[in-house]
Formats: sequence, C-alpha cells, structure tokens
Amino acid sequence: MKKMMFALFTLVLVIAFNGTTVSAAEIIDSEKVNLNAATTANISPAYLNGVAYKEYTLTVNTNYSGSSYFYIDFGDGTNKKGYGSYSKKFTKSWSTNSSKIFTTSAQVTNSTYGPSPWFYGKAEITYR
Amino acid sequence: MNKINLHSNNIRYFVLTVLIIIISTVSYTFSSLSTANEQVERDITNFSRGSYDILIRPPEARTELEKQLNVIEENYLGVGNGGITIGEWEGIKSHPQVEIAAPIASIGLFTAIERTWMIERKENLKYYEVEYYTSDGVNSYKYDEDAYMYDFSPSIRYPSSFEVANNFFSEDIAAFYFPTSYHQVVAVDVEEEGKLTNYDLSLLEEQVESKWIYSVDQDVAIPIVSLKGVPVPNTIHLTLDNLEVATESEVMDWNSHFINDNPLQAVHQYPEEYHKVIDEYVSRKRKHNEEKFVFKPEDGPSPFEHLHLYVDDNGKLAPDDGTGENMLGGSSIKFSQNIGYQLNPVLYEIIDATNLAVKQIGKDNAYHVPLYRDIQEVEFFELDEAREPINRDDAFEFYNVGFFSIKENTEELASAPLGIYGSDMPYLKSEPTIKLHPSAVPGSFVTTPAHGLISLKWAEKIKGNAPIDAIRVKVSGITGYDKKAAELIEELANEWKDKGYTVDIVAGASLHDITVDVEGIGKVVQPFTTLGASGTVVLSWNLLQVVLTIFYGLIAITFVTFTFFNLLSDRKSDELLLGKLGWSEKLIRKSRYNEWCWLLGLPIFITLVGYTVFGMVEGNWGYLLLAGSFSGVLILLFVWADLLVRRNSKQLNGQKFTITLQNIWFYRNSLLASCIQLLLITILTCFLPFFLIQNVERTTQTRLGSYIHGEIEGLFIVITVLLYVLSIVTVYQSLRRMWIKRLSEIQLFLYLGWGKKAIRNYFVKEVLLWAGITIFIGWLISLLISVMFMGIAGTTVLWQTGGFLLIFSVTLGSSIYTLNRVNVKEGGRIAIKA
Repeated sequence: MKKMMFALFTLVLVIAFNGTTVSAAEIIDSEKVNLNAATTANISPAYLNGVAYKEYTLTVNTNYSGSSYFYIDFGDGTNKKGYGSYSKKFTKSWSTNSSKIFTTSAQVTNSTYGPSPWFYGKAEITYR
Repeated sequence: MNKINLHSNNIRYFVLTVLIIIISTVSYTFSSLSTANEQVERDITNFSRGSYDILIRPPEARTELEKQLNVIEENYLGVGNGGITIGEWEGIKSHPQVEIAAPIASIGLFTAIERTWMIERKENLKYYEVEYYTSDGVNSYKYDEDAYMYDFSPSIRYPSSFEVANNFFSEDIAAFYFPTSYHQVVAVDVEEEGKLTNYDLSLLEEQVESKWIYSVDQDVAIPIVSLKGVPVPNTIHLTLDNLEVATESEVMDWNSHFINDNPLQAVHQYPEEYHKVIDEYVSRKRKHNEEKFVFKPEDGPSPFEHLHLYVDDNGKLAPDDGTGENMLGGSSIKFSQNIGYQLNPVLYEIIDATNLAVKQIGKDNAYHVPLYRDIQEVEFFELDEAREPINRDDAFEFYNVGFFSIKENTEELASAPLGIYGSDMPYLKSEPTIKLHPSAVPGSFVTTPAHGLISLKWAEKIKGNAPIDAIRVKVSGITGYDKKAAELIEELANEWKDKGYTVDIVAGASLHDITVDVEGIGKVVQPFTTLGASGTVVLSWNLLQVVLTIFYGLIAITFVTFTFFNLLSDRKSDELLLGKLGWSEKLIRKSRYNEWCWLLGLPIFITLVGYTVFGMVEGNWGYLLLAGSFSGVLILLFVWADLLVRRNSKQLNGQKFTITLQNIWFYRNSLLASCIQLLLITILTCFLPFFLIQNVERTTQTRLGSYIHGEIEGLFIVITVLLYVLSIVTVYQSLRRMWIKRLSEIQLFLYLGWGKKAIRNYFVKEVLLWAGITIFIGWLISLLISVMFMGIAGTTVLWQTGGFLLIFSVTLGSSIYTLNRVNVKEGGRIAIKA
C-alpha cells in the first residue's frame, strides 16, 4: 500500500510539473533583471570644498555601460548635459563673493534602462 | 425714280460704316460697363471677405494712426495689456450669429531659450573666436563683445569671459552660448483658431512628452508650436586658429599678472587688466592660419527648443535630438524665459495718407541697432539664487511641440488686420528686392508674425484675469461680402460697440502699401490694412461709371445728330433743285425717306442681326437690347434733325452787332455741334484725366482695388480713346463744312482782291471768339466739378489751364488748316478763271 501511495504521489508530481524545468541559473537571472531596472547616478566628489573662480571637474557616474545621457545641475541655475558611458566629466567654476553652499544634483538616463533617481551633492565654495 | 440717291456713294458708305460703328460701340460700351459693374460686385463679394468679418478689441484700443488714416498695421498686437476676459469671449462665441470667435492674447516677446551650440573639440592648442551679427535686411550689426577661448589644454585655457569659460564645457566639446533673439508669443484658442485658419493646433492641448535625453516637469511645461520658415536674424562667425605650445614657465608668467594667479577670477573681476595681458602675451601664441565658418540664420531651429545645438558633418547647426554621437552636450540656464518684453506701438508721424515717418528713439547697447519703439521688461515669475521659482504655481517653461507655416497666407487680397500670420515684410522703396525684417534686438519698426502659439488656457496664468487683446469674429450664414452680408455684419458690430468694445468691420478691408520714411534706413514700403477698402472701390467705380456713361452718351449723340443734320442740310439744296424741276413735295419726301431707310436702316439692321447672332451663340442678349434701344434713339434724332433742317432759316434784320458776331449768329446751327463737342472735349481733357487719376489712385491703394482696377483698366482706355476720336472728328468736320459752306464768301473776298492772310484773319477771328468762349466755359465747368468732386490743388488748376490752351490751340490750328485747304483749292480755281 505504501508503495502504491508513493507511486501515485510520484505520478501526480510528474503530471503536475510536466514540462516545467527548474534551474538555479534562471532564478539568478530573474534577480539580475530586478537589479538592472535601477539606473544609478552619483557625483564625484559628492561634497566639494572649493574656492570661487577655480575650475573643478565633477564626474557623474552610473552603473551601466552603453549610451547614457548625463545631467548635472550646479545649484546656481546653470546645468550641463552630455552623452557618455559609465561616467561623464563636467567642468565648473562658481562665481561668488562670499562663502556659499551650492546644492549640486545629477541624473543619468540610460537609453535602455531609463532614468536614475536624482542624486544630490554639495559644493561649499569660499571666496578669497 | 425712287431709287435716285442724292448723296454720293462715298458719303453713303461713310455714313453706313460710321453708324454701324457708333451703334455697335455704344451698345458694346454700355453693356461692357454693365458687365464690368457685375465683375466689380462679384470681385468684392468673392475677395473682400477675409478670414473673419469683425475685430473686437478692448475700449480705447485704437492708435493715432488708425484714428487718422483708418489703417492698421498688419501684425499689430498692441502692448498686450489685454482687456477682455475669458467669460466675455465665451459670451461672444455663444452668440447665435457667430460662426467663429477666435481670441488672441499677446503674451509678449521672449528670448530664445538660453543654451549653447557646440563644435567637437578634437585637439589641444586651438584658438576659438565667435562673432555674432544681426541684420534688419538692410544693415548688418556686430555684437559688441567677441567670445574667444585660447585652448592650450583642458587645464590651460584663457577665455574672453567667465561665462565663456563655464560654457566651454569639457575635454571633447567646445561650446558657446547661442546669441540672444526675441520672439513674439501669442495665445489662441485651439478650436476657434483651427476653424479660422485650418491649422491643426491640437498638440497645444496635449502634455509635453519627455524625451529620453530630458524629462519634462509637467507642472510648469507649456506646449508651444513654432513658426516655420522665419529666420532667426542671427549669424554666427566662427574662427579657428592653431596655437603654439605654451611652456609651464610662460603660463606661470602670464598667470602671475592675475589676482591669485587665477585667470578666471581676473576675467570676472578685473576684465580690462586681464584682456591687456591676453593681448600682450597670450595672443602671440596664435599661428594665424585661420579657418572661418559662418552659420547662417536659416540654420537655426525653433527658439523654444530645449535641445542643444551642434555643428553637424555638413557644417550646419542642428539640434541634438537624442540620436547624436556620444560627444554631444551643452549648457543651459534654467527658466531663462521668466522675463518677457512688451513692445509699445511705433509712433508714426503722419505726413499724408500715403506717407509716414518714423523717428529713431535710440540704439541698442549690444549690437548698436537703431530702436524705434519703447520696450518694457516684464518679470512673469520670480526665481531664487539657484534659479528655482519662488512660487512654482506661477512658473512656466515653453516646450516646442511642433511647427506652423504662414506661407500660404501671403497673397490674400483681403487682409486680416491685427492678424498674427501676416508675413508681408516691408521693402526698400529704392530697391524692392531688399526686404526688411526685425533684427535680433527688439524695438524694430517692423511688426512680425507670432513666432510661437500657445493655448489660451495658459493666458490667464501668465497675464491675469482679462488676457485677451482681440477677438476675430466670423459671422455665420453668409458666404461672400454683398450688401446683405454687409448689413448683417454692421448690425452685429453695432451690438458689440454698444457694449463698449472697440469694434472694426474687417470684411471689405484690404492691404495697402504706405511709404514710411524710417530714420537711419530710408524710405520703406510697408503693408497696412485699410478698413472699408471695398466701399472705396465701389464708390470710385460707381463715380467712374456714371461719368464715363454721361460723356460717351453725350458725345455719341452729338456726333450722330451733327452727321444727320449735315447730310439732311446737304440734301436740302438738292431737293430744292428737284422741286424746281417739277418734283412734287410728296415725291421728294418719299425719295428722301427711301434713301434714309438705307442709310439708317441698314446699319441698324446689320448691328441688330450681328448682336442677335452673338446673343444666340453666347446667350448674352444685353448687347441686342442696348443696340435696339440706341437705334430707337437714332431714329428720333433723325426725325428731330429733319424737322430742324426743314425750318426756314431766318434772315438777319439789319446790322445790330459787329460782322464777326453776326456771322457767328447766322451760322449758329452749324456751329452748335462743334461747340458742344468742344465743350465736352475741354471737360474731357481738363476734368476727366484728374478724376480718373484720383479714383484710380484711391482704388489701387489697396490690393483689392488694384486687382479690380486691373480687371477693368482696358475698358477705361477703349472708352477714353473713343471719346476723343468722336469729338475730334466732329470738330474737324464741323469746321471743314463751315468753310465749304462759306465758299461764296471766300470767293467774293478773293474777287475783291483780299489776300489769303487777310481772309484767314477775317475767319479765324470768328473761330477765336466762338471756340474761345466755348472752351473757356468748358474749362470753367471742369474747374467747378473738380472742386465739387475732388477738391482742387494749384497744380491741378495749372494742368487744367494747360489743357484749355491745348484744346484752344488745336482748334485754332484745325480751323486754319481746314480754311487753308478750302482757300488754296478754291483760290486756285478762281485764279485760273481770272
């Protein structure tokens, strides 16, 4: 009887999962898709201590290769944009006659995976 | 016996031909005038109704120019203060007799979005120089400050300004700001404007779509459609040069002249010292093997486009639409259109109805372009230091979503004043191929079409409660501009006038070229819109028609009566001879009427048959009707002339006046036709040309009038030529016949031994008197009717006096000529006889 029950149980399982293949690799791929949806952006350096009228290079990075559109706002009403892969360098010098903190922000839009959330940084600029 | 003809065959053929010509041309002329009248009415019905009928504006919207000359600038949108609410517009729109009520709200002039254009930076050691030019079509103006960059390497750069440094970008891009230009933005109702113009503006009601290279903040985005084909009046001149390598010690030396050894700080804070150092040291590194590029206005895309511009492989400026290469990029300024500008109207100095003058009120500081009107800056919403709106509800950004074109509207006969689509640019009077357009700087005397259209739903947000500047109304239920339509339009216009609006009837308006003397440019021909142009055309045409009909009728009837009278008079002497030969009065009369049956009946018959055939072929019986009526008039004239001739002429009782006066009185019947024709010919010369010129000038001021005049011009010429021919023939014949009639007198004087000169003086004295008095009366009548119809100017009186002298001289010359011919011919015979 036990053998019959086991055989029946096995038959049910075979019928129920007939045609279904399960592999570890596929599960990993599925997780990978979820991770890829999130394009990231960050500014390097995110916190800049600098002086007025000096040119700095800020790099916007993302987590994807391929064509991305990089946008950086320097916190003084000006912004720069450009295409790149993984990262894009932008030069900037701030004009101020006192010490001031500018909020920088960046966004990267990947041509395949879409826009990233905004990344915010700071540039503390002193005048001398 | 009945077949005996007393007139020679030559005379008979002549009379037959002349009568056929007269009957047919009079009928043709009158009928043509009637056809031309129908043509004028049809043209006005078809062409004088523009795209709308009534223009409604807020109270006190009329400019001085409108008040004085009844003309409106083609694209005049006013200062854009508004004055009509959305609710009021909806009330007008819902009127049962309104088909379309299309509002316009002038939002203002906006600069193009501040963004850069770029060229690929392929190598170090390059010098970039950018010059900006603008043009008004006649003159070119250079921007005061050139932008340059000494680019030795990404870490060693010497810009012309701090802004240039920041825009220059990065390792692989050389970018500069696109020059500033100003563009008119107008709000319209998408549905009503679509009905009025057939433009599909539905994109204005949709959300602006984000592109993969930029996202759109929907809460501030206003979709805008841009005018296609209107060039941005900027030209960019780029010069590229190579640089020699700068050594580290050289760079240190140059920088040592700057505050904190910092060129960027120096250029921003001490620009004069900075530029001195650049000129003295850095500029020496240029190799002067320059390459020059010019980017022309037609290369510029929509001024409301957010996409950056780049120089493509063909050397043209193109927008980066997201399909470009990786090297593309640029800088921009956020909310750069938070400030707009409102232009005051141009203050025209009115010289006369067709000449205006405009004074320059200043010069622009950047390009030194002459300015002709005041401009007011309007801040639509405030920004903080980071250029973020302080109140986001007030903020907006234009996003180009499409284009519209106005090219198809350029040659409309009827004009739509206060329109936003008129594209007729003024041109130089001395060189019509040179067209003028506004430069990149606002303040030009030229009004432009709208460069951007937005939906009316945004107008309240930007301009407040009463944003509408004008409403263009098309009345329902009419198809053309005829009398009935005009009455209905006027009725509606009065209804809105009573409510306090400024209302103009646009139906029947037409474009009108006015010469404007623009200070600093010269004489310019500019299109304006004349209100009521069709009324002027109709009035002028009616006057011309009446005058021409009266003249032609009088001259033709005088000519025919004169011919009949002469022929019957000639016959009378022959009939007297027949009477003496024993012919009965009845037989003579029968013979006379038989002959005249042929003389008058045949031309009438031929003409009537001709017009009957014409009527059968063309289906136009008007000519036949007129020819029949005129034939009746001719028969009556014959009867009248016959009665006149049958009357016995009275002999003079004794000498009461001078011989000359007595002679004139004795031959008064022969001279009557000549006097009438001379009177008419004098009026024809001294009045009609000025009347025609004035009416043609008045009519052809507008395009509608020019078109209609063009259609009927040939008829004017034909009638005028006919008038002169008939008049001159009558006067000539009249003089010749009189001298032949007085041949016995001439013979007597010759027998008595008078010389030819003495005989000529004797007779010419008579002509001087009767012709002089007649022509003087004609001149006086011309003067009086000129004063009545046209007003009078000194030059007109002079010309009219010239006309008087001309007719007088020609008459005198003709009389001497005809007299001489008779004198010579008969004098010769007498001499032979003697």
